[in-house]
Amino acid sequence: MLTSEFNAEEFIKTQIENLRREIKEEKALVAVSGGVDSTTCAALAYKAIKENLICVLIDTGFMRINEPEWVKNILNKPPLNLPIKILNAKENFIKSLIGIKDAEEKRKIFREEFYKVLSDIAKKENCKFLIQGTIAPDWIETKGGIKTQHNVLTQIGIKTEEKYGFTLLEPLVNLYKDQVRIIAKTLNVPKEISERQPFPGPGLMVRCVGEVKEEKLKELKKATKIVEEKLMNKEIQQYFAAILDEEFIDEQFFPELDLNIEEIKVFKNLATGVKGDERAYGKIAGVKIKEKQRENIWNNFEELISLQSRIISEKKDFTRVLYLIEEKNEGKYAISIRAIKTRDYMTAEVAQIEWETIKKISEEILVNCLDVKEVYYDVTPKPPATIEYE
Amino acid sequence: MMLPQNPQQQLNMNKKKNNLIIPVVSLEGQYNHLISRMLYELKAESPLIPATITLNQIIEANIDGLVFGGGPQKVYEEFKKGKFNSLCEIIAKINIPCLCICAAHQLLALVYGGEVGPAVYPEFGPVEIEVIDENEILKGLKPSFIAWSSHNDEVKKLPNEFKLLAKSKKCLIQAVKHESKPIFGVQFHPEVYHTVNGKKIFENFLGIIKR
Repeated sequence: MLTSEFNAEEFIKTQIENLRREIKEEKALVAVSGGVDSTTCAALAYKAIKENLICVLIDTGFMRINEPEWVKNILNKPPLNLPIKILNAKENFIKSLIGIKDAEEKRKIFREEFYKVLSDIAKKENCKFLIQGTIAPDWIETKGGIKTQHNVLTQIGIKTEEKYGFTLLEPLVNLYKDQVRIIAKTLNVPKEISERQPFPGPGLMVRCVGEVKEEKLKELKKATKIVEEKLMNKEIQQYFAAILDEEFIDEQFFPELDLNIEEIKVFKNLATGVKGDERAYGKIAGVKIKEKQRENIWNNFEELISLQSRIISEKKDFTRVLYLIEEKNEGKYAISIRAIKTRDYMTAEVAQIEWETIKKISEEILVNCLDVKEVYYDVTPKPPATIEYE
Repeated sequence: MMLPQNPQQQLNMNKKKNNLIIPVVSLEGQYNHLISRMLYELKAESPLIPATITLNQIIEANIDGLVFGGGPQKVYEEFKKGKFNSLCEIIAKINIPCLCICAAHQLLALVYGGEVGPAVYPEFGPVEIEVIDENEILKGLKPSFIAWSSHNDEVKKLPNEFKLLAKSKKCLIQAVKHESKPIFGVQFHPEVYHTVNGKKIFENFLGIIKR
């Protein structure tokens, strides 16, 4: 099942048989976000049980601009023809997160809200099963205590029959993203979806670092659109924006690091990392290089990555290093642009982007997002950072 | 789908096939499942098995080799408390080829009388590994290669019966081999995609098994 000549046909055949054997004549629910995993899972399930599949997209409020409609449109059309319904649950999510700053707390609240909604639909539609697209990195990270992926339940001892009233089926649970994409192609999932970059289940919530607020989320959505448009088709496997509060703590840095450093700020917000197989919820350093030298140092990318490595190796409570690209005088928030290269998302290297491109993106963000004061580029690989911020 | 409750059952199940059988003992690290994937890609049968496996179970299962994956444990503390007694017995007595990665590399050092402690400079992400002695496991990798690491602790003192095969700038004991047994330890992670020569290391390991 895990071989390099990954036999997609055989995998699909076996999983369809398994699903049919489990579900029999019952009805099953599948939750789709429009991402590669959940869409592939839904396509597989639809092939297995046809009309007995109920397909929903929960609009959490943390999806990107116009995303729910875009997804519905593609999934409804041939070749997939998935009968998908959008369920608006924005209020539930945003309200339940008021005042919550801690990353894990946010994720657990999201999980509870998510399955509360699904449990209600399952009961209403008389579905005994929930089929979901959980993959290997999801349960590995959750079981390992790195971060709580919302779609990992039975693996950490949650009894879904008792708690939510459905039995969970996870046909993709031992696969990595590159393998899921092969399955997706074999199932004729349209390219817009099968080659789409990953997007976390809790969506922009985990990129709205610290407390989620409506206006903060709004700025993030604008910045996300700009980053995605400009970095598309650059052979970067994941690229996005995250938003941080423009609030800092006092912490002395070793000035001998580099003569070109004007300032290193330490954000009040914390970010998730993975160090030595352990969760690290640590500080974020924002490195400001003298403006004249900024482009030069950017072009010496390996040096920049090793500066990051020195900071995190010496400062054990740090998980991220950000590199300042552009700033303006006013604003409550900072945007961090993250772009990484990877195969399986278990390790990730920082993508090197041309200075002109990153500078242009940053300027556009500063003009369009009035509340954003600074734009950084995240120069931390995984490990020690995770790909997402929380 | 998850780790089998009964490792013996899992091992016996695979015994019927013709391929090499190289189980991966999981210390619950992030990349243990990737070791399995890597070995499957190289046409070996490599079920993930839990760290509760015993020496007797290993002997009865008649396997070809064994890999121990990494984990989040502070190995030197758990070792003192006896938490890894069963694994230590396997590492001490086994004669089939054995590759110990990250935390298991540290456990290997402790079993044979070496020392392990917190690293002065922990390494995360890309690290240049300088090959001192290719031996068999690092065959073709001189003078150096980029591997990805993720460790807070490190081997401080090499056990007596061991040879040093590789080091990095910040970590002096990156790869080791027992002088007479086919037992190897590496601090870095050959199983992750970003360790460019990682596959080569597993191919070398398979070569040692087939010899």
